[in-house]
Amino acid sequence: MDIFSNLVIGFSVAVTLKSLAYCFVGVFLGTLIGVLPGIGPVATVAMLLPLTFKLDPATSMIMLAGIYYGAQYGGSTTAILVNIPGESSSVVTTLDGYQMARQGRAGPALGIAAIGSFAAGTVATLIVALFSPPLATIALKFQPADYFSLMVFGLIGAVVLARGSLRKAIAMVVLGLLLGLVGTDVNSGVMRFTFGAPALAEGISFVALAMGMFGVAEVIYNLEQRGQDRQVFTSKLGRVLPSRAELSFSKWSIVRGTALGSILGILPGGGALLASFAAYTIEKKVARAPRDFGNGDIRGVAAPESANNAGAQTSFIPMLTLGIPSNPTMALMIGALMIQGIQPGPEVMTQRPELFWGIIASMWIGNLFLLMLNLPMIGLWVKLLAVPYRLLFPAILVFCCIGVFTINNNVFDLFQLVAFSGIGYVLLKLGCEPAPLVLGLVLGPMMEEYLRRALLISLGDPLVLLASPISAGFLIAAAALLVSIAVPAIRATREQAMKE
Amino acid sequence: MRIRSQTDFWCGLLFVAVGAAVIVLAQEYRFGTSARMGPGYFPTLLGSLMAVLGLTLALPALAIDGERLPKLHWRPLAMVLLGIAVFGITLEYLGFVAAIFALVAVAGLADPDLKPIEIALVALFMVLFSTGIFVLLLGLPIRLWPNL
Amino acid sequence: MKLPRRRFLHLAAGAAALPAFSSIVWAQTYPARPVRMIVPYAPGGAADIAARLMCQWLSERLGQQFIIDNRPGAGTNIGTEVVVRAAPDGYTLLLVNLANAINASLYENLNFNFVRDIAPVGGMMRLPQVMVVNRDVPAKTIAEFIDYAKANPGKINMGSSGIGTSVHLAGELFMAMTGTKMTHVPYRGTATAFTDLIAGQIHVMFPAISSAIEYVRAGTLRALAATTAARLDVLPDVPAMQEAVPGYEASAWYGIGGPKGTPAEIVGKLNTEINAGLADPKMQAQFAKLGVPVLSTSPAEFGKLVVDETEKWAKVVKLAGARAQ
Repeated sequence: MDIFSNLVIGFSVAVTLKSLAYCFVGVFLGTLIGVLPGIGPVATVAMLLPLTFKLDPATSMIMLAGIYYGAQYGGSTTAILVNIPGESSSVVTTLDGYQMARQGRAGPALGIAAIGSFAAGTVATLIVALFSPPLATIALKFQPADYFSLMVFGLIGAVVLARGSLRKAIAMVVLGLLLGLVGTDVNSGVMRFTFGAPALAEGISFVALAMGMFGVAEVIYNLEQRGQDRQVFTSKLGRVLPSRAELSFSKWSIVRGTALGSILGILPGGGALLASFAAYTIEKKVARAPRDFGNGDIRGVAAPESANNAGAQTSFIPMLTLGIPSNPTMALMIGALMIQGIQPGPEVMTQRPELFWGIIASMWIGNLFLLMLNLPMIGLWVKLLAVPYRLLFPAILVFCCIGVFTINNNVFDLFQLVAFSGIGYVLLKLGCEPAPLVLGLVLGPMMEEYLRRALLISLGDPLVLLASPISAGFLIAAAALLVSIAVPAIRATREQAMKE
Repeated sequence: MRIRSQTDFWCGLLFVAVGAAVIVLAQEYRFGTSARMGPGYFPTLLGSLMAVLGLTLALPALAIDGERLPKLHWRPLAMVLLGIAVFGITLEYLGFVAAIFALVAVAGLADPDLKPIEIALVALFMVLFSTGIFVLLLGLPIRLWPNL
Repeated sequence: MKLPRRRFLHLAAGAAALPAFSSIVWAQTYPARPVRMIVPYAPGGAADIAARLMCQWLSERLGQQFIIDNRPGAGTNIGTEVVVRAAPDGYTLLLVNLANAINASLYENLNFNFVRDIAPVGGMMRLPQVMVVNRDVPAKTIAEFIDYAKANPGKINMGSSGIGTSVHLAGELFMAMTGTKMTHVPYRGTATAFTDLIAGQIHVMFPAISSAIEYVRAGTLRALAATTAARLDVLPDVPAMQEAVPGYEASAWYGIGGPKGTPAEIVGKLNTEINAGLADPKMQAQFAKLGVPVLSTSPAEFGKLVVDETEKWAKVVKLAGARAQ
């Protein structure tokens, strides 16, 4: 058992003045771009890539990794304060986080996000250090059929994200799936529903949709209240940190979120995307007194934020051990290593132990930096909400526009923002919640892709979905979840019908 | 016949319309078979599902009481959407600085309480702040001023 | 509505600038402001990084910032169209690559004609591909693989990074030239395809050497052949495809271009600096780390390469029956 000697190697790399400095720069920049909606870690890492040409491999990886998980951290801030999810993982955080902010509890919401993320990051870093090679084989065990069934499970869970009408929630999932069809069909190369716009070939801009339906639609909704109702946020600011009671109330949510996020993060084919959604769904089903979810339940922030950060850490496992990037940011980091003459892959761990363990040690240090950086910032963020809304909302719109534009530097994406803001406002008015739609949009294309790939590989045999134990397991779980959602709803409808 | 839950009814009809439109548009793509799905398979399936869901929402709305149609507020809706669109067009031709001023000016009309001087100050602040962060600090390839 | 107005603005810009400066003066003062290089891909990957290396070099040599502007989408068509519509003044450049040549025949209704609308500036690098198989595939040589494929028609799964990509078409070319039949399984990019190739869901792929080399070195995947005419320096023991399939060659390449009508003096100046960069030992060392051979050409040579490749791949696209609207 030489894990300790390995960690000693790691910390001797990570605890030099230079490493610490670059780690801090990384997490600071990461937090900044996480807070700013839209502009994501991919653009930032790309921008800093030339800088790393002159650094040694360990230092450059420490900085780039810091940007990546720093951004995961910062994303929750805008989601909680102004209901703008910058990436898919923070969509769930808006559900309870923004409600908490409106009730004057932005401080505890931000605090629990930071604390939950730190706890999750610490545990996940340990998991990466202890179990990377065996866990990497899980990534290889997952076949197209298994991914398909995982997506089905996730989609059924999406219904749970809504608090209102069940039928509308299902319709929103399907609408999300339909919007996800737009773009090039991977299996045939045909462009579907693009109406001749080449910019739609890659599909609908996720950021434009999420910002429109959550952020901008919410701005319009707030603007229509005038006078007394206009005060979007209660004037009393409340406490800045979560209370002891709130902490102990959400501790099991953090544990569950961490466990779920750590597992899903390992899957390179889109598991990490599901982490925060799945954590919220499970929390709502498992936690006691779930009726507060959606109305500012602190556990609805703690669980997904922990899951998200844990997933961000464990998604390094396939990259470090197999050389397979789980997401575009990881692909960039692989590029950064290549320019240093290192090919990420199974040999890095044995041949460059100082690099491998240095990155792992720096992850934990980076998480510590994030906690130290973010907790004092909370007071400042909360004060921001005291700015009168009539001055705040133009600023929110400017950030949304810049964020959407900088994703692809394409003006067309701004017109998508216009469209989805309008659609989002109308849906909001009709009592349709956007969260299930977003998950449908994210998972739909992958679900179709994996199903058709599974059938292509099995030469058209649908039994492939049941032949694999993983896939069969997810399908059974999905069926169970469906029953647990449908039965109370059917009973409620019947009771209502009886009354009439 | 009286519609008893207006929101659900119109919402349901909207879904039926969306579902039907998708089914029609999807006929352009090869359907394939269950074993070898073509690009038209999933859209047709999902479009039908959408239409059915719409019906399950619209039909009971005729029998069970529910909400009346909510009122849409046109001024904030139109001004905010117009503001974003103007931002896009201005950015393309006149650069970043002009685009921010245009967005704040147009979207500012959404709120009658906002005074012109406040609009100017917010716009100026946003120009300085976002130029500092996005262009100077992060170095994004954004054009600040019009060419020429 | 959008097109004519843009075109008008560009014409106006050109008309205003032309009488004031002769093109010679232009070239002497060029670059007088930052230059944008459109990379029609998302950041990451060997090509994007190579473009960043080159931009850094050009910035240092010409005293103006050369900025990378990633415009991904529609298989490079979006970024390419941005450059096609830009003013031909040398301040908007394009990272040109094999996909541009393939798309000319893959897409039916493009708003531009690549060979006509983009002026070649110079080559930058080649990106050889390599035929790799899962470890459990019994074939150890190209000949054995061909026999194996012929014995199991349609049962061998060939992965790719998407319909009409160079990875896909290199495989189609292989099938056409050897008379084999494999099932094509497209992915979104190579990352997930590699996962399935290592796990044995798919059996063979023709990815870029830069993305595959570590798996080959670690023994996770077996390389059967390099797709180039000669063996590769980085994998000297792996035969070139030509040794078993005469006439087979498929490798991606990258270079730089500008909008049609970019002054010849500016093209010449850029070409000189690019080639100086490609000859610089430090730059060569960095390209070598990426595992890519440099491709140093004159503008005319690069133009000829683009034309030849466009014709060659049009035939393969036709064979593969691939089409995109």
